[in-house]
Amino acid sequence: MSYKIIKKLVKYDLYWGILNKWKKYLVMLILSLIITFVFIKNSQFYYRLDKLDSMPGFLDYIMNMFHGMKNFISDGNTQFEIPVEWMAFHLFVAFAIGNYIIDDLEKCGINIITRVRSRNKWIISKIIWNVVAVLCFYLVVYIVNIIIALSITGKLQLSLTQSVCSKFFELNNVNMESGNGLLAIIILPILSSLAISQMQMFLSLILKPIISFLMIASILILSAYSMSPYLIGNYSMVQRSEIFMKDGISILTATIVNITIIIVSVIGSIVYFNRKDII
Amino acid sequence: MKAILKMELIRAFRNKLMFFSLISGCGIVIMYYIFSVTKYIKSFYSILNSDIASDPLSANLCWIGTAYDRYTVLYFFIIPILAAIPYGASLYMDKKDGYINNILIKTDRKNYFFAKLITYFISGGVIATIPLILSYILAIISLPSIRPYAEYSLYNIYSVNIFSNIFYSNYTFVYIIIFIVFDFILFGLINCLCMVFTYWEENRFAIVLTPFIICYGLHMVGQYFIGTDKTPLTYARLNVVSSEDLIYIIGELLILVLLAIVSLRKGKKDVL
Repeated sequence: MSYKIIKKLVKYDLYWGILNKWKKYLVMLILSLIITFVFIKNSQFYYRLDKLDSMPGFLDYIMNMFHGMKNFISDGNTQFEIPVEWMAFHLFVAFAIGNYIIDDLEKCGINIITRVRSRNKWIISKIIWNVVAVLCFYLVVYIVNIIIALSITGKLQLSLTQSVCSKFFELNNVNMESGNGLLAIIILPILSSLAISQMQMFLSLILKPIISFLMIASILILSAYSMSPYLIGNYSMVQRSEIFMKDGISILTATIVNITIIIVSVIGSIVYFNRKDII
Repeated sequence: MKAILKMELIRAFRNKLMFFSLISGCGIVIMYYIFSVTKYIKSFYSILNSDIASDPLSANLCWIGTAYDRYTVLYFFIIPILAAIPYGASLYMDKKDGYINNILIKTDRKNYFFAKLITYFISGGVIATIPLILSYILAIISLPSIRPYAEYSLYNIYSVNIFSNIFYSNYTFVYIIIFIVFDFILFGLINCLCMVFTYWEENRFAIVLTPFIICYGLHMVGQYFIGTDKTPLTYARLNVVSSEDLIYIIGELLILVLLAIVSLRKGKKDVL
């Protein structure tokens, strides 16, 4: 019975929080199209100048989206450049997650909670929605890049191109033989986004959605500037992973910290929401 | 007009969120002072105590406006959000809870929207500049305000940058005033975008984030096509602006003014 109610609530959230917000996914689609086309255009330019051995493939596109930046060392004069692709994706996910939960609570959440007679079911449904919404954003990015890769290169290349990595990401000796490379490029950004989004939802319950967005934006910009395990944005930057950088962030540490953040945020959201004055 | 403007300013400034924004901005400045300026102070006194002749550190070097630091990056990145938090959704809320209907019975529509626009401008400007002023005050009470010389190569201001001749003169404080006034105008105008987008957007969260989204979008476009120096997130730090970027900056400011005027006209035509 309880499972059925949660299923109904999740269905409701998936409709109103994802299907009804299709415009946000369309914006993400356009964003990833722009990012990948600019990358391809730049690659073509260097390819014509013989500075690239071959054109980038599917995994290079994904790398371009989530690579972030290498460790920034400030000398007091070098201007800091925001890693725009990485930041745009994460800021947009934070914007999309934004105020759905509070908005829904203010609109009809109280009636739904009264109807199902459980706050737990309502918040669990929101947590599931959050996970699915984040995964959908990744799905959009992957589908766009798969289509572009298939239409341009005719194949789905699951390895990085050395010359592309050297030119665009300043990565020499890219070793993708172990499965860890794929783990760092594909799984870790998703896990980090799930952790950031769960944390954002928890914070928006305690504070206001806009303040929670502000905190996420601050964490992201500080993560780009400083390579520190305390700034969780670092875990989603592929370029700072130990696979691609000496003394980089270990995949194991990143996985453990992300999972811990998800668990703490989920438990925190459930416990806090049960005590929250929502009337 | 005066009465309605006064009332809107009170609504904007006697507000918990205004307090939050100012505390957050000033908090970044204080953290910058504790973690970065104190290093400059130690370095200054070690130079004084040593026999080796060295370039003197100045207060003009180590306030948050001209320094390169994680706090500077953080401050100029989030300031469009901080500026919009207290008053950004004001017009939307007035419409939503029916406050606008009561007000427009008692005052002229033109006065109301004009007062609203001025309050958007002032609140955005004040939130952006008070932490800058605080940072400069903290810097000048900690270090001497020595006249900067380009020959020292200590400063991030070069001959190609605008107003560099004022900075490297006896009137450096005039440069600081120009810097702060420029940021007041820039973030004031950027905050007015909230009013512009109130007519298109039905979501409070999105309205408050509009200035930030536009600033970031321009930064991204800038990085791909025209260079980030021509986008507000970068040129809010006047010391990076070169004279050839000036035409773009003036153009962008004019577009912001134009959008503010459009919002005013739209407000006047709004049917209740």
